[in-house]
Amino acid sequence: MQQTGITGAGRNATGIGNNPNNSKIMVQDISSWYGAQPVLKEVSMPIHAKSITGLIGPSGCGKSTFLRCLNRLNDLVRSFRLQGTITLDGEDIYHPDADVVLVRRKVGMVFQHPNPFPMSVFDNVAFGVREHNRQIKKRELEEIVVESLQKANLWEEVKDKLQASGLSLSGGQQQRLCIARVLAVMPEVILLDEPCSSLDPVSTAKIEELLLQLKNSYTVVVVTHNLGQARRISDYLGFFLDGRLVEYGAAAEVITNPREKATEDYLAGNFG
Amino acid sequence: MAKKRHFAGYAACWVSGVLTLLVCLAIIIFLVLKGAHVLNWRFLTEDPRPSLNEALTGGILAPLIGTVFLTTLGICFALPWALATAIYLAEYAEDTPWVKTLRTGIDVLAGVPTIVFAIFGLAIFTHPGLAFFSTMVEGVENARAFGRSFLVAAFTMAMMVLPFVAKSIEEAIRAVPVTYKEAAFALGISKWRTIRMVILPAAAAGIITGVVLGIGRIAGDTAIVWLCLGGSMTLTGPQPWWEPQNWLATLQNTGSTLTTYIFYSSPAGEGNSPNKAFGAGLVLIVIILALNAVVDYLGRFTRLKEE
Amino acid sequence: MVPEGSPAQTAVAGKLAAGKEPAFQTVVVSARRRSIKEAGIEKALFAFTILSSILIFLIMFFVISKAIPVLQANGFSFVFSGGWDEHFVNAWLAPAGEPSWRFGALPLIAGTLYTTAGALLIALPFGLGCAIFLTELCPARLRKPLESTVRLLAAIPSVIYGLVGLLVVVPLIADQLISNELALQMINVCALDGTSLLAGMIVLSMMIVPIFIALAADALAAVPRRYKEASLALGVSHWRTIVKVMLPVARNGILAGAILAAGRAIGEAIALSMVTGSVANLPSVRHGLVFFLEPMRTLASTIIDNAEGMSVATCEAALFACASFLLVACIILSLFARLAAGGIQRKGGAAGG
Repeated sequence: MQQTGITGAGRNATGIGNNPNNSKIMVQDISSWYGAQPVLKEVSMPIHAKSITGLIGPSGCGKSTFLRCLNRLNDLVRSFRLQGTITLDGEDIYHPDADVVLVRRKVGMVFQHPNPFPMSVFDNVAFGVREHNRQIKKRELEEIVVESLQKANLWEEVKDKLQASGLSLSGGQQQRLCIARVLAVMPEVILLDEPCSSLDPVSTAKIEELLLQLKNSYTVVVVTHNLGQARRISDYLGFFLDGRLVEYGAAAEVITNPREKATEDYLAGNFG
Repeated sequence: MAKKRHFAGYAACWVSGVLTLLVCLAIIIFLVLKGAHVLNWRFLTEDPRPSLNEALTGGILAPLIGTVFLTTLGICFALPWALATAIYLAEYAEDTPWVKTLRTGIDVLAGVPTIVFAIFGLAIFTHPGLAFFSTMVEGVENARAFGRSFLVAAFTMAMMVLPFVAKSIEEAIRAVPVTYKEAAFALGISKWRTIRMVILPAAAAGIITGVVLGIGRIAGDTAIVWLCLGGSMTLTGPQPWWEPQNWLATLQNTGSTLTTYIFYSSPAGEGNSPNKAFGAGLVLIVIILALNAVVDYLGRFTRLKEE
Repeated sequence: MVPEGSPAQTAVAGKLAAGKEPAFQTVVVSARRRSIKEAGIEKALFAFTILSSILIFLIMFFVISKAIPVLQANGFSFVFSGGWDEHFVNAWLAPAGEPSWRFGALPLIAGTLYTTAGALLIALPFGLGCAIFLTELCPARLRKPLESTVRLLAAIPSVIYGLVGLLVVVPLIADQLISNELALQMINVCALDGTSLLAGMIVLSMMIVPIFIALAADALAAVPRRYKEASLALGVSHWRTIVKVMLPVARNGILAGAILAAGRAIGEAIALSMVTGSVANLPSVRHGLVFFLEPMRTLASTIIDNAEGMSVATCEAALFACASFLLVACIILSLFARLAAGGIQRKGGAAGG
């Protein structure tokens, strides 16, 4: 259960082969509540492998909740309830027998505010790897850490201060450190919850560039507040309003030719 | 495999958690079982009497009255002092090294064992210049005050609870939304008037919580009572103590509280009436439970207001 | 500013009517008066605050200065020699002309360290488990009652712990662990009747565990949610997240809790005086496990037990020496706790000492 599960799944089962629609995750008819408060209403959408799916919508529309459904992080909230099914490679992640820890290994997450652990840069990246494979050799671990930092375009900036605290980096560097931390455990899907909302434009550009690189090997889902960013990076776009998925389609299609009036208004900047 | 390894950790935490609940319940149930059968009206309304026969040792009236005296007096001494300290620290003090030193001093005071307060109280109040607080000892070659009385014990108690009460009031004052203060200032109300008319009323629940915590600490303390009030079971002042002309003299003399009564009546003390000790213990725990319930209630009240 | 219809208002109105221009003047005067009053209030509050924080120095000064004669007379042998009970009786019975200044507090100091260490050894693992249970594992329904229970446990007066210890724990030790043969064998060293170091450790650990639980649970609850989320999102299990992320982050707060619990344990007087036998005996490791069954006494309970000696100057000074050791130890612990947590809040309900 420790190591074999993750590398096996991580490297081979990309989900493309056995799914004609090329969708990594299928969300079918999910509705959810915090206590009695409905948050998501009958949302269905596919998430395509090796592409970037952008989720947009005004604040409070449920897009972050939706994202957190995909790796079951909403389980932390006691009053949270969910109906409907979400499948990852055809397997229901909310099935009673599903291993939530394994789901989260396959579906990594980067948060709105950079949240490196109060440890060194090296340990931040190594943490998840060590936890998943406690017998790992030192050299192997170092390789993974270096490779992950390189993939996250952070290596050049931190190679001389791997032992410095992760909290000593700049905001943009911290966020890339968090991405490296996720990459190190070799997930298949990466969820990002407004990853650039607390960053300056230069750092934002670096993260966007990184995401475009990452989509070659990973399935990426990004919640964003920034329409420009959604335009620049997403392949597919979903627009949420009041807990409903109002519109979903190829990004270019949704942006240039929205089917719904609400989407058009939002894109035109009339609300949100 | 991983699940199995974690199981031990989970189990240890569950066991400690449930065991804590059980220990608490066990202490209370044990006190109820042992103490309930001596509890009756006579037990509460008779003074203790020294006797080898437990049936003749009387009740706990004097210790009960002593507890009431001591908590009332102690909190009366402590509250103004704690309130002033808390207001200063919350509203006037700036974050300078000098103020930090003051805070450290008060914080360290909270860690001083009550037995040290007790012996300190005894040391200063046996000074002849402070003889007013207790009666003088007669027949000792160098003149010194007796150093034991309700006033002495209450003042020592006040020093002991001061840091706790002050801290709790300071937190209550800091929890008052800054918008209240801004609104009052914007109306041109002076700082002190704002504190008195706006901030203190808004912090009332928290201030009362602090007072109740202080009362609980005083009612539960034994060391200070044993040293600063002494081991006499009944009130030693002129009787009847309820006549106004005897009030001051009563407070200048000694008595006992529930805690020293328990200590004295248990096999550890000189008395030998463990059943009476359990009875008194039950009464004391009911008082403490009631005080805790008040704190819980006030806590809920403040939380509701915040939401 | 000036309430309508107040004397000030009418006075102003009256002066205005008289054709002068005193309104502005009046306000200025009252403003000055008010600022004097405000400054006075601030000074008074400041004086009280100074008094609060100077108190600790007053206590140190009085307690230590009263202890100095004994410490001077005995030097280091006060700490390194035994025989307290004998010395105390000698000093108590000494004729007025030739006071006896000889005291040795080794058994008391060692006894204080033994009980404190033993209580911490029991209380810390148990309390940490309980704190984790409380903040992370327990079902939502159990959480509130458990929090109230911990607060109540912290609020139970120490004399009640002592009473329960004396009438439950002590007989249990006497019946289960001490045989007649063993008692006979030890008769020349000390009486084994159940009142013992072990009883002291058990009762003391019960007394400090709620304080530690409350502080450790606070420290765990204060761990930012984002650390927990980040770890879980990496696919690390809940238990490993607690062990590898939450405990390290909460380390300082937990350490401060342990230090404060140790301070409480060192200073506990009444409960220990009731259950440890009140003999200044130094339990000896040479007796094997009987070490735990021997009666003993701590510094704090010595002050309670020997309080009647206060009327003799030498005995009084000796008790103040005990108190000054306690005081210094507790001040150092408090400062360390403050250092560890950067000024952590004290909690623990309406507890008595």
